[in-house]
Parts: sequence; C-alpha cells; structure tokens
Amino acid sequence: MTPVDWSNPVAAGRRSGLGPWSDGYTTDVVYDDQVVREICPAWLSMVSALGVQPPLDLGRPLVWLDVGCGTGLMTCAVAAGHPNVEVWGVDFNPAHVERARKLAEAAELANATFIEADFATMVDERSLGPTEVDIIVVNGVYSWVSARTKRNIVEIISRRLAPGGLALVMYEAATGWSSMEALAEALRLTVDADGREAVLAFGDAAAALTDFAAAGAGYFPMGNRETRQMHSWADLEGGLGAHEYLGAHFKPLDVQDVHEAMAGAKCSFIGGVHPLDRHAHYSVPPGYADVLAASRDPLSREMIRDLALQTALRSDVFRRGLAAVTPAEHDAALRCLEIGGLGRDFEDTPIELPAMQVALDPRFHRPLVEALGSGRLTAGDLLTMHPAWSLDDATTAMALLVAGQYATPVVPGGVAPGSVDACRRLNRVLGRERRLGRQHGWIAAPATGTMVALDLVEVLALDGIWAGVTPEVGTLRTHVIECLTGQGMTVRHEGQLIWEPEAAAGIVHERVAHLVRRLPALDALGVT
Amino acid sequence: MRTDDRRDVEPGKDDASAPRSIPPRVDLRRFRYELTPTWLQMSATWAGESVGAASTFDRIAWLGCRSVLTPAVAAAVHPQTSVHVWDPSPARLAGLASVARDAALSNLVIQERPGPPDESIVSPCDLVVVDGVLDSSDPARRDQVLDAACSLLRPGALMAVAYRTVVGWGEVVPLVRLLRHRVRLGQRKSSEVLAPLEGLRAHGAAYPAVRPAVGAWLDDLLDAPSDEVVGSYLADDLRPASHAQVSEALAAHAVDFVSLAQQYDPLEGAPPVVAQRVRAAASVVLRETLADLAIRRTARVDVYRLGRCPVEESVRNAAVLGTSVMETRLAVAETVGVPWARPVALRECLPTDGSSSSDLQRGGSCVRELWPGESALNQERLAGQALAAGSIHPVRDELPDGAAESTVRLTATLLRSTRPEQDRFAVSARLGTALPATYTHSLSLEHRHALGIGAS
Repeated sequence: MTPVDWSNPVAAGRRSGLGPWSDGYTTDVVYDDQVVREICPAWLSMVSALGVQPPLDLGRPLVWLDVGCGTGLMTCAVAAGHPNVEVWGVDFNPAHVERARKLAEAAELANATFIEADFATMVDERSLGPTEVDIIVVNGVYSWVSARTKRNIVEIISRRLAPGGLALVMYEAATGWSSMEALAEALRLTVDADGREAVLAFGDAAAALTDFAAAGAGYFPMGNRETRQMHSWADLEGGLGAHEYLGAHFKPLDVQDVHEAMAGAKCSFIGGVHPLDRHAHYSVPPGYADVLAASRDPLSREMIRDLALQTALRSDVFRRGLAAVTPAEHDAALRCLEIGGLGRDFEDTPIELPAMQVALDPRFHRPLVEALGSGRLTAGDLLTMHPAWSLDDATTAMALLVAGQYATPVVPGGVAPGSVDACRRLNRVLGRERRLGRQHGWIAAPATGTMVALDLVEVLALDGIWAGVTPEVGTLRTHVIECLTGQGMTVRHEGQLIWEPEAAAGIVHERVAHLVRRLPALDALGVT
Repeated sequence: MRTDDRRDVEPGKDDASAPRSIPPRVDLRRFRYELTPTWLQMSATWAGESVGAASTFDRIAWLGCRSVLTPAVAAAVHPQTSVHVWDPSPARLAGLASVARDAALSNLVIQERPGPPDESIVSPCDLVVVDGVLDSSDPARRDQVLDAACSLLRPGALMAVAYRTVVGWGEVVPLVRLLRHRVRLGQRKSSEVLAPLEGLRAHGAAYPAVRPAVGAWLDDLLDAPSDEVVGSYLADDLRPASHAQVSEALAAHAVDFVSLAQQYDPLEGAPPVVAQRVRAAASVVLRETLADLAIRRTARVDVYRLGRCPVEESVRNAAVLGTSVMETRLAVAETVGVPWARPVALRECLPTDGSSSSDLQRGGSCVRELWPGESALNQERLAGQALAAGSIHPVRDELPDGAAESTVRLTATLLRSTRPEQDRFAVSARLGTALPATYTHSLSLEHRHALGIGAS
C-alpha cells in the first residue's frame, strides 16, 4: 500500500529558487559559451542548394535571428563574419543577454542586437525585434521547453520568417534519448529535493541514481547509448549536467512532431544540416537501402533512418515555401558551392559518419586536401581537377571533406567587406578573455562567416601571433608555455591532464607545429 | 545545450548481451474495476482522506473512456448520480451510447458533439475520471483536458487519472509513431504496416536491438493476430506521461496527489536496496517516480483531490479495518502496470477454518473480522494483499434507489450473446462494479444474490 503522506507532493527546494519566469528551464546556472558552426549563412546556403532549393543570396543584406541565443558567442560570430547582415539574438535569461551584449559591444559589432524577452512576448509584440527574417536558428532550446513555449517558437517562425527563408531547428531525438527521459526526470526531482544549487547537487544526485540502477531497479538496462550517458555523469561538470538534464520540460522529440509543427508555419523540410544527411548512399547504414526504398515518403525514411542509427541529435533545415528549381538552376547552384580548407593533413584514417565509416581514396582526395591547404575550392574546381567526375561526385566529395573536418563551407566569392576587421576585433576580445581564464577553443574566420575550432594550445599560439610573436615553432612554444604556466594550467592529452613539464612541453611543441602548418589555410580563411 | 553523439553509434550492431524483457502491453479491457466510484472512494479512504460514500456522489465526469464500459457501470450502480462522458473518439462514444440506450441508463449523458471536453459538463463534480486520453493526446489537448478536469472539481472532489507511463512506454514511442504514420498514409494490412520494422529487425537495427523492452514489444507485435495490430495496438496515439508531469500540472490547480488507486505494492518484489531507496525518497513525487523506475511500471491510476481532507491516523485506521468486503475474483495482475506482478491468492491470506470464506460470499465481512487473531497492522496488510490480488472487493454501505433495476438491465445488455467474450460482464449492485461473466457463471445462486447480480 502507498504510505500515507501529508507533505506537498511537489518538492520546493531548488525549483522555488528558480523564479516563476524560468518556466522550468534551468536558469540557476549560466550557460557556457557555445559554438555550432552549422548555423552560419554559408553553411545553410549549401544545405539549401543540396536540397534542390535556391542557395541564399549572401550578397544582399539579410536578417538573421537566433531564437534562444544563450550567451551570444555564435550570434556575435555571425555578425562579425557578415557585417552586411542584420543579426539578432533573443533570450529570456538576463544573464545571457548581458554577456552577449558585452561581447558585441567589446568587439564593436554594430550589426548585432540582443533582446531580453521570452518567446511569448516575441509572439505578442511584433514590433519587438526584426519583423521579417531570412534565417532563423533554434539551437539548444526546443527539447527543453514546455509544449506551450514550443508552440510560441513555431509561431515566431510562422510570423517572422520571410517567404523563402530558412529555419534550422536542432533538437534531441527520441531515438537516441528515449530511455533517458524517465531517468532525467528522476535526476531533476532528486536535485529539486536536495535544496542546494543545481551545480552542487548534480553530482550526488547522479551518483544516487547510478547506484539505484546498479542495485537492480527494474527499469534497467536502458539503451546502450543512454547507459553510456548515465555512466558519464560522474565526469560531467555540474553546470553542463544541470542544463542537459535538469530542465523540467526536457523531452526528446520525434521527427514527426517537429515536422508537423513546422508545417503549421508553412515550412517544409529540405534536409539535415550535415551535407551528407540526405545522401542516398552515405546516410544509410549498409544493407538498409532496401528497407528505405520500400518507404517512399520522406518522413517515413527519416523515421526509419533514425531508428537504424539511434539518432540522438537532429538538426533539420526547413524552408518557408518550396521553390520550383529547374535542373539547370540546380546545377548552376551546385557548381557555385565553395569550401575552404581547415588546414588538416590528409590521413588514411576513415571518416566517421553516423551510418558508416568512409575511407577516402587518396588518389582522388589527397589532391583536394592539398589544394585546400592554402585556398578554396568550388564544385567547378573539383570537376576541373577530376574531369571524369559528375557534378554529383564533386558535391559528394565536398560533403565528405566537410564531414571529415578537412573543409568547411565558405561565403561564395570571398569574404564579406569589413568582416576581416570585425573578426579580428572579436578574436582580440576572445583572446583577452582567454588570458582571464575563459577557455574558448574557437576563432572567428571571416571566410566562413562563423568560427572554426582550434585546440587550446593552437589558439594561444595564434593569440601570440596576433600580439606580435614570430610565427615560428620554438618561439610560439615558449609563448604558449608561459601563458599556460601563468594561468596555472597545463595541456590535456587523450583525456588526461599532463603535469610533467617535459611531457607537456613536447605536446605543446607538437601542437604549435601543427598550427604553423595550418597557417596558410587559416590565412585563406581570413584569420591571420 | 546539445549533445552531438553522431559518432557514438554502432550502426546495425546487435548487443547480444542485452537480456530479454517483458514488453509493455496495451490494456484492452473494456471495463476497469479500479476506476469505479466505489473503488476510488476506498482508495482515498485507505490513504487517510475523509471522503463521503460513493453513493452520495451527485455528479461524475469521465473525460476519456478508453475502458468504454466503465462509465456505463458507474451509471447503473449509481442511478441517482449524473454521469457525463466526453471522449475524443466518436466511435467510442457511439459504442457507449448504444450500451446506455439498450440498458435505459437515463443518467448517462454523452457529449455528442466533437470538440473540447467542457462544452456540456458545466456543473462541479464529485469525481472526475480521466481514462486514457492523456497518454494519447498531443500536448495542447493534454493541457486542455487537464484544465477542463480541474475546472469540473468541486472542493473535496476526487480525480482519477489513468495513463501509460514514460517508464513503461517511452522507449516504444518511436516505433508506434512510425507504424501509425504508415497507417495514416493509407496502409491497412498489418504486413504492409509492419514491413519497415521487420526490415529493421532483420538487419539488427540498433534501436530495437539494444533496448530489451522494445525488442520484446516488437516480438509481441509481430506475433499478434494481424487484425489486432491496426485495430488495437495502433488504435490510439502513444504519448505516455509521467507521474511528475501529471502531478505538477495538477498542482498548478491546487489538486494534490492522494495515492495510487490500486492497492498492489510491487515493491515487495523489488530488491531490498531498491525498495529502501524508494521509501526513503525526499518527496512524494520523487518516491512515485523512483517506484516506477524500480519496477518498470507501465501504467498508473493516480487518485488526486481538490482540497485534501486528512483525518487523524486513528480514524483512518478504524475506517480501514471497518471496510466491508466480499469475495471476488478479479483479474488484477494485468491491471497494475507491472508485467511480472504475481498477486497473492486469497486462499493464502485467509485463515483455514472456512467460516470467513463463507461470510465473504454470503454477505461480506469487515477487514477486522477476517483475521481476528492478527494485529491491526497485519489485518491491514493481509486485506491489502487480498485487495491487490482481486480476491476481495469493497462492499457499498447502502444501495441507492433504482440500483437493483438498472444493474439488472445493464447486465442483460452486457451478457447478450452477440457481444464478444471480453465485453460480457455481470454488474454487481452490491459491490458497485462489474465482474467477468466467466466468473459469475460459476457462482452459486446464493452468492450471486448476495452480490446483487439479478439477471443473466
């Protein structure tokens, strides 16, 4: 029998400290700066072209809106990379908006504006923020908010996305998270009842539930992916854990629900944000082609693919109104697709795709990677280098190089006017913050219109170059070691912190040397 | 906030070490004993609430009637009570209307027009039952139903919410959504609907392969008769809810959790450390959440109340021991949302002299008389086990005017030979519930008469 209990069934504790405005979202821990490079216009333009839709006209002044912009680093990066784009970020957390505004102000990004407002207010007050938007990005929000707030997000898209505009919606998918939903709720309730701040209570709550599972609770075992997630809780920093698991409305979503909601905003799915997501061969595990071929409608195929892959994160791109594109227009758009190199040397190691591993054929791909070492390539360039290839072969090769971190989409036709200076200002601000202990591993790269990831050692070396240190391995190594020592830090290698000075110096040397080799590529991206 | 685990999958890999599991099963019962006013009143009383007899209920509302015969039984055994029913399924309402018409249940009011559930049910109710609709509704309708249910409660009224749980069903959702999507595309043959899942399983697809309950559910589905796949397994959308979700939504309306409707305590079968952790939970909502995880509970019936009215512990204990019960044989195991539930049989609980058993059949006994040699605590524990086993059922204090006649009419309707076996029940005016015809046919005339079953 259920014991008689007169207490209030809903725990007070932490939830009472969140305040009514939080609506169950984790607001007692400020979110870390995050960068998702796929949100930039050049990347989304490539996705649109691959989805047989017109690419974005990046030459005209666009309007770009980040719904739930967090601390605004991504938003600032897009603003710096596109001085001609009107960039907006909206977030209901004042701590996030304060940080975003300070960053934009310090980098003198006059085209970036941040609004502190909840999504219901954005729906009600049409004059707040941009009225017609070309690109809307929803990242890190949609799986963590209430059903009502989800409806508000879709309503914002419905009312503000221009005809032909693109919306990127990123969300945790049920096929990778379904086992975790019930457990995350228990974790949240345990932290709620703890009474301490989430960042402090998370570790103990996680340990208690892990023990509960080990003691033989009937819910377990979960799916293998979620089991790995649970066992990683012990190493998870409390703030990140709080954001990931403690939202009162955390709910992994079905692709069907999201696509139906977006259809209500007159938005049609045109593909995943990763260029190979709709590729007939590379997006499907070997052997599944017949299963997918039997299902002709696109939604069934997405659902089947998610089940086959246990997809955990979906990043779906939608277009408001599908354009009729002729084959000639499509070919022309594909020929103009352009990628820039990230300075990675060609390796024999296979590329890890969600559906399979792909070994790049060095006969064809090594020359491409070498060409990208100091420049950019269009699909047309690839056809020139490999005359036997079809246009489809060329765009597939580009997508593989992007997936393998050899390249990234770049703004067609060169960097936007003013973006080199704007990115330099932003990078300077981030460099100052690194010296004060913020570990940004990103730099704004004008040609990409967003940021590229670097190792912390590489970033510190780059900071040194920008500060006038000679771009030579020995000098830069000394500079980086001084920076690390000054901050009481050391390098991490294969997940371990290396405190032994000689070993650390060796690792720093190796990474600085890698950066020096990458400099021509970074120069081509407008970074140096 | 994102976790990109694109490289964290092993496409097509089967995890051979994953143990087999008992799958969640669709509850196809057309009548649910644990949703009757008599049973719910007892559950609240045993949880320490001061609740008037179910026979004093003036108005009852059913928002959703997945077990379509339950409101008809409630109307028959409470002919003085106005019973109002809303459901999003016109077919379900039509079926209920047909039964009500045949049995001349004039106090059963069905909301016939489509739309939200608050159009015709305007006056406050003593009891609102939300049966099944929550776990098959999209979030907007779920909010709408809960808002409507709360607005119908008069102070002190009870609410029962029956739903499939996230713990039991959450992992199955992606498969059900795919299958229902295919049905929506026009596929009706189960072989066509199931083809992609068979293909996925044949290739050892990761999702069903590494989740034991999903794999077992899929096996169950593929073994099901083909007409059941579309008609039963996929008839309703699947959007399971959790106790915390329901409790927190209702708490916003000042409606508080009282207890589970079922008396079954499956923690007795859980590992001791797990049971201890559940019982030591720091809040009620956490305790219920952990309990669901502890036993992988697939369905719940939660009892809530607008304005709790707790009694002194001594008063509550006296009410528990004074509960009148009669022998029944309900099929409980499949109803408590614990696939491995193995209820204790009454014979294992009762003393061996046989006199108690005879009393139980003739006219009912109160709990304290059943085990006279036991302590009060043990009497309650044994009675709880017997209730959980479906071996006994509470007896109503008094029979409302007209109840004998209306239950006879409904029994006659439900026993008509054209009805399928699972719809054939005999309604007991005395217990305020319905009993499977397969059971009542085996009873002596005296026992049937004592139960208030007047026709067959």
